[in-house]
Amino acid sequence: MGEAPFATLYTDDRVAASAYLSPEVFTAEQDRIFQRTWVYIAHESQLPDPGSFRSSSIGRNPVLVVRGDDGVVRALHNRCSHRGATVCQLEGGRATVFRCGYHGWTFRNDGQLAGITYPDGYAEADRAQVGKGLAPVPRVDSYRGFIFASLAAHGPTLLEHLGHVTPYLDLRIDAGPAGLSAVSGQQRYSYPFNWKIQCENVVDGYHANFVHQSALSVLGKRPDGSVSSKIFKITNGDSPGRAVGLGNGHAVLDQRPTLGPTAVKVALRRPGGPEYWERMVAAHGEDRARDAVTAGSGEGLNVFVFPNLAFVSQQIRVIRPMTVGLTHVDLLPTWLDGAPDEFNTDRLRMHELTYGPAGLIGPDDLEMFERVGRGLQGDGAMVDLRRGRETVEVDERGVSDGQLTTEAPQRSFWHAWRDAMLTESVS
Amino acid sequence: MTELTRVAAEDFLYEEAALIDERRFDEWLALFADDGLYWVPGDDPDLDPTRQVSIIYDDATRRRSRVERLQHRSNWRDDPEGRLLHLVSNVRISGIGADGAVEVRSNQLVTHSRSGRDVTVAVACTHRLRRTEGRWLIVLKKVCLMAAEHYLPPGAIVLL
Repeated sequence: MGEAPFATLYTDDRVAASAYLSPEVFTAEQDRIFQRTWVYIAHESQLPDPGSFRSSSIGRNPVLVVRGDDGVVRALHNRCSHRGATVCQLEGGRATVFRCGYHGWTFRNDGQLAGITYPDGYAEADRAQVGKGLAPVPRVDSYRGFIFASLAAHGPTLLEHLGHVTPYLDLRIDAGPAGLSAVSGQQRYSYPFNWKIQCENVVDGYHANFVHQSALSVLGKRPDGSVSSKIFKITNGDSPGRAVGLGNGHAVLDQRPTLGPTAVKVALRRPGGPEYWERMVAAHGEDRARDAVTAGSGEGLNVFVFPNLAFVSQQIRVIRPMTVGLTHVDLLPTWLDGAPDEFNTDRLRMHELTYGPAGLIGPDDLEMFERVGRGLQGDGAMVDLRRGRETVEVDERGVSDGQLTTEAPQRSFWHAWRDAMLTESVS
Repeated sequence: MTELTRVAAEDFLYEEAALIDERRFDEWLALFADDGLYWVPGDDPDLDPTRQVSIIYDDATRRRSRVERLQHRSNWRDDPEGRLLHLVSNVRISGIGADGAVEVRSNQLVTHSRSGRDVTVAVACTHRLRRTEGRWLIVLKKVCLMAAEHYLPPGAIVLL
């Protein structure tokens, strides 16, 4: 596919169905987005010791994120330099060496080749060529514990890529008196449609009252069995919440204006809540503590970091495109460092009830993804993202700030997508 | 103390499976003791649920919420309604606690059919049953997914 077809896939804030359905587009996305930009791969809390590793991926590439014996965190292709087999089959753990099961080649946990079996079988001239370690991913960097990698040796720095989303990451991270970690395990699910609809949906302030009507009715129930109408006002068309496109494809749904002081009040009523609040104030000061508690509560602040990381409710969400029509998603509940254990345990229970493969909220989103997937089949269908174009305010940084139910976040995603897809090569 | 024979344990599990498959969810809820726990662990069946995330960890309140959502008219995941089928097998009495609660293990296949797709998951179940006022109540239903670390498709876990 040449340049022109990509240019027409997103025009006048409408998306052609083939952007979600075409295998050629998916292949090009792997080259032009996932081979170039910064991709979230793991959290430092998952790599506590020398030799700690996690299996991850950058686009379709399987990678190992490893803390070497020297303490340095590296991203290595999980691909034997001999015949290409994955050298590690585990989700995570500790290892001093990785041994390929196919012909027994071994690699140190910094990626260097440790040994070739029967090395005499190689000519002297060949041995230097074949004796390669696990290929390192050219660039690895982290932001307050969040590890990103780029398959491109050159390009914007991680901080340049994160741009205007960093203050929002800070808010989510500061929801722990001592920051947050990702040490509570993970849930997984898949759905048979394109990855980009999950990116759009985590910052969609328009859908909740409709898609999640059943969950909100149950969660908003009063003791007498009636349903509070208040719960449906949080995300309606008059809500003071904001939907913000931050540039570079990043976006947030900011419901702090709607929640106001209630998020702190709710937190105080949870197990360990008063102690959590006390430690938050001690760590961050009262104003910042209130802001971060609100952002880190259930609905306070959804964040999307282009192209594959999100914060939703209590969780970190990682989006993994597998094929054009299959997406894997990881949900990692955050553990608030420095908060009382019972407060964190209670957050795990809230997460399980609402999200994941058996949550009250999550599965209804997947149903809509599948319905869009079915509806877009055939010729000429378009997805419309023009809601709120007239009312969204764009500042001098290019940040577009709109009412909660506007589609400013989705437009921000597609602008970055289009820019990446129209750039044929980077030097 | 009333003893639970293996045949009676089988009858109990068959009846429980039928209540789910026939969507008689309120009757299913009534099988649990008030302090009963419905637990589907995540990756590791022996995980510490106070520090590690599970897939389901329901006390009575959360079980009730789960069922209310399944019964809600705008449960889109079930519109059109899916069909559940449990196959219950390999039932054995695996222990009797000091409190008289009986532990029953079983292997089950649970199929959810909807939208032209069957999703089947294999699970190993542990039930702890306590005799209360002339009937057996579930103190613990622990359901371990064989595919716990898989990226399961939608519909894989409705009620196991």
